Amino acid sequence: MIECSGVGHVYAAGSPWAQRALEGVDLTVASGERVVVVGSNGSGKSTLAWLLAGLMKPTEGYVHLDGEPIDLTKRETAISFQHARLQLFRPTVASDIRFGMQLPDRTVDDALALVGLDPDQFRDRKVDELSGGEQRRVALAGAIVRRPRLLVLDEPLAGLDAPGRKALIDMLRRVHALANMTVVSVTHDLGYAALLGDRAVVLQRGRVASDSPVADVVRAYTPSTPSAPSAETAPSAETH
Amino acid sequence: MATATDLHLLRCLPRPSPLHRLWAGTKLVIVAAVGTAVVAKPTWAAQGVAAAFLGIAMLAAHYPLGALPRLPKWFFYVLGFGAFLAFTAGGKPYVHVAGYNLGLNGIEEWARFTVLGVIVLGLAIVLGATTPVADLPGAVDRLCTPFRWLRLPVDEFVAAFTLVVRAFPLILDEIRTLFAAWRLRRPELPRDMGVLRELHDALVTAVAASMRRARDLARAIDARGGLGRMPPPPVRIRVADVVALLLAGATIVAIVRL
Repeated sequence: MIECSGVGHVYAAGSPWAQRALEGVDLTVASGERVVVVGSNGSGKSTLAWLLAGLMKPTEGYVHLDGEPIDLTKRETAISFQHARLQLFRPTVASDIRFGMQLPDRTVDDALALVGLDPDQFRDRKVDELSGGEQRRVALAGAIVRRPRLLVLDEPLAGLDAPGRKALIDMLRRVHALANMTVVSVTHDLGYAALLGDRAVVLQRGRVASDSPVADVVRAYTPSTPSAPSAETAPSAETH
Repeated sequence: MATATDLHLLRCLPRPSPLHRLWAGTKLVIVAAVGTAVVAKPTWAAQGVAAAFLGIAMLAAHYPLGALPRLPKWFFYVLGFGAFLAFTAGGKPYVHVAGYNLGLNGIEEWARFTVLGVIVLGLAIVLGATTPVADLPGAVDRLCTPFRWLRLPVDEFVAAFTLVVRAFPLILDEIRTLFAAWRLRRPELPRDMGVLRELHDALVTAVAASMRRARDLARAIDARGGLGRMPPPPVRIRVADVVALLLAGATIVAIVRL
């Protein structure tokens, strides 16, 4: 279980450029839950993603994973950034998935299959020959192969076309079902929120504006939406 | 832990000051001239004059202590290791401590060049803290006018400079993301020479990601019909600019003569 209590964060605290990104965020995410954090640009959602992944310590409050502060050395958390190339550190797909770990070929192939890439086709491909969508899948394979307890996805659908989005959403559902890990997705695109999680946390100006089932949030923010959208028909409704 | 953003590079102080009101070109000329003078003659006396000039500039900029760059711990460890190596070089003058002859020339040279680095960087930091980034390309364009008469590729240089300055926050952000991804995937660095491979891999990733970004940027520029040349804003030399130039001139004379 992830627990955020009174979490606040100020960038460049104590300097003339101090900027508050989060304030008084209380959030609990149960193990195995799929939560989507929605907010406009500057709402603090990416800051929350970094705090949940343990990449930063909040300047106020705390973020605990199963009652303890997040320790990166335990490899309990993973994050997938929008710009996947920045997460790929080795020249070939298989060597990148192995980065920082000793893994048998079988595990690497399983991870590739899980993210929808044919191991025989992709194992020895160079990461710079891959498309943006394929790089994102490889980055995700590198993240989930460590079996983290929490997977954070920062704008997972940004920059993908409709078929790419559908494929990624299907893959994320598959990964969640098989690995049963807690998944927190961060997006500004309310239209796809219903497909990324069961519960939506809306951030506005660094504060939690609402925390409710995703269908309620979609209804509240897009009153004309008659029903939950599908991956192919989801409108690109931004929160602001 | 200090991060790339804690360096506060090229971030203009939000509170206006007399230095904010100077033309960006004036500040560029002063920093280049005083910096060159003190590098050319790095004696303690010359550095004292340059440090005094830097102090006056910081006061005029209303530069708060909280705006100073926050450097990571490893930087000070490296600096300390350099001091130790310099100390082992010995040389005149000698001091006698507990029956040992210790030569202080090495450590004195280290201290002198460290202070020189702080002064030169300090001048650049004050420039960055009092000049909006958007003002720099226009000022560089104006200052490069004499080189245009010599048919040097000034327009291309100014265009490249503009892109570098504009892309700087983006680069910092990407370095931050890359470092974060690296920390998550490799929370413990190898304790042997394998660390060099890790650094190599991170650098290759940074270069590959930068190339992609550069390609995308170039395509976007092409799609908009190329860079072209924006007419630089008019130069407005005020009394404050003249005073600043005179003060810098006096500082340079003092540096050269001391």
